[in-house]
Amino acid sequence: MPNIYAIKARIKSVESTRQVTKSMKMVSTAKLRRTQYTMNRVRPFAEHCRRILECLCTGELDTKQELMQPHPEIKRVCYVLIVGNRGLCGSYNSDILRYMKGLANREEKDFFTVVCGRWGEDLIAQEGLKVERRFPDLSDTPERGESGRIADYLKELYRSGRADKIVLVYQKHRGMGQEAVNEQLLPVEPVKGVKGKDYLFEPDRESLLARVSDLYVDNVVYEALLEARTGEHFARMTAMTTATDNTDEMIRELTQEMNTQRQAQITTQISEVIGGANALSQNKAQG
Amino acid sequence: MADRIKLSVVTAEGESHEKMVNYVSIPTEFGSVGVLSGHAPMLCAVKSGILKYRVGEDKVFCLSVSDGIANVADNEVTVLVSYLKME
Repeated sequence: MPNIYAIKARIKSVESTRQVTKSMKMVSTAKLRRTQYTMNRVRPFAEHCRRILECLCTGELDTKQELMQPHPEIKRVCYVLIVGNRGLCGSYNSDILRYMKGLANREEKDFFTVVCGRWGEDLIAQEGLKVERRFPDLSDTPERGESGRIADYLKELYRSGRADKIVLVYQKHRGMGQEAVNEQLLPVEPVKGVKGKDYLFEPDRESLLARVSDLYVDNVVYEALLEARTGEHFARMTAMTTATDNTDEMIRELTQEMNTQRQAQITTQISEVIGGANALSQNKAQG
Repeated sequence: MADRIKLSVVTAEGESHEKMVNYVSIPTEFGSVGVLSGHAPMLCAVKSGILKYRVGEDKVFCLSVSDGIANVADNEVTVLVSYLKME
């Protein structure tokens, strides 16, 4: 049976763990709020952009835009894997890696990956995924400049023919959890809307498509990064909440055990005192 | 004339400027394009310059905008730019 001092030391150590998990939870909550705020700010732009692309794609579309034209044959596929910046967020990172592995197993064409995020360089390598390039220095609330750098690199990959299809793989934040998704980024698939008004194009449809497709790709990458980061912060917040709750439970159990021990000790001491007193009084009576 | 056009100028960073107006002048490659209520649906490439709009009868406001794209439909003018500044 462990003594009281050992249990006290244990409680102290669990309390300091609790302090750490609680602070991490608070930090994640703040980061989650900031990312969600940024996401809500950029959403209208992305929606307008999508709507304009929809308007440009109505009717017969015969575009020569590089980003919208599929390559005649798909030889190499590029998967853009968005992982977290660090661990301690439950199964967030391992889930997306498992999902990516599943995609890789099903892929019949030659493929490579571009990894965005700091987490798991060695783990990704262990899975046997070929990593063409890493973008490890992304902040916790990505800015447009950071996503622009990735988008430019991906556009260049597609334009130069080093990749014939580019797919984004990330965790989408849905309600109280995440869902791993894969979305085709390039070639940009024409968004077919309801056939509506006849638009006037100024100066012409092609130059407008060039502008919009560029903007559209930038936006999709930015939205995906923000979405993935939101998921990461949410997962970490949930994991840290659970950890804090568990330490609370542990502290409660340890305190109870310590009290039981103390009670037992006191009982022993009392019975010893009573036993001693009885012995003394018997001695006196006999003497 | 009542202000019937809903003007929204939105940047990629999330900054936006929304107003009910009765006239908008959009800077393009080939000069300014004026939009009054009931304008035909139009998509136009915006050139960096001054976007003007009129509120009420005589209040004219100016916005500095960068290159972008404008969508005119159903008395709504949406301008997507990467930079905007109220003059």
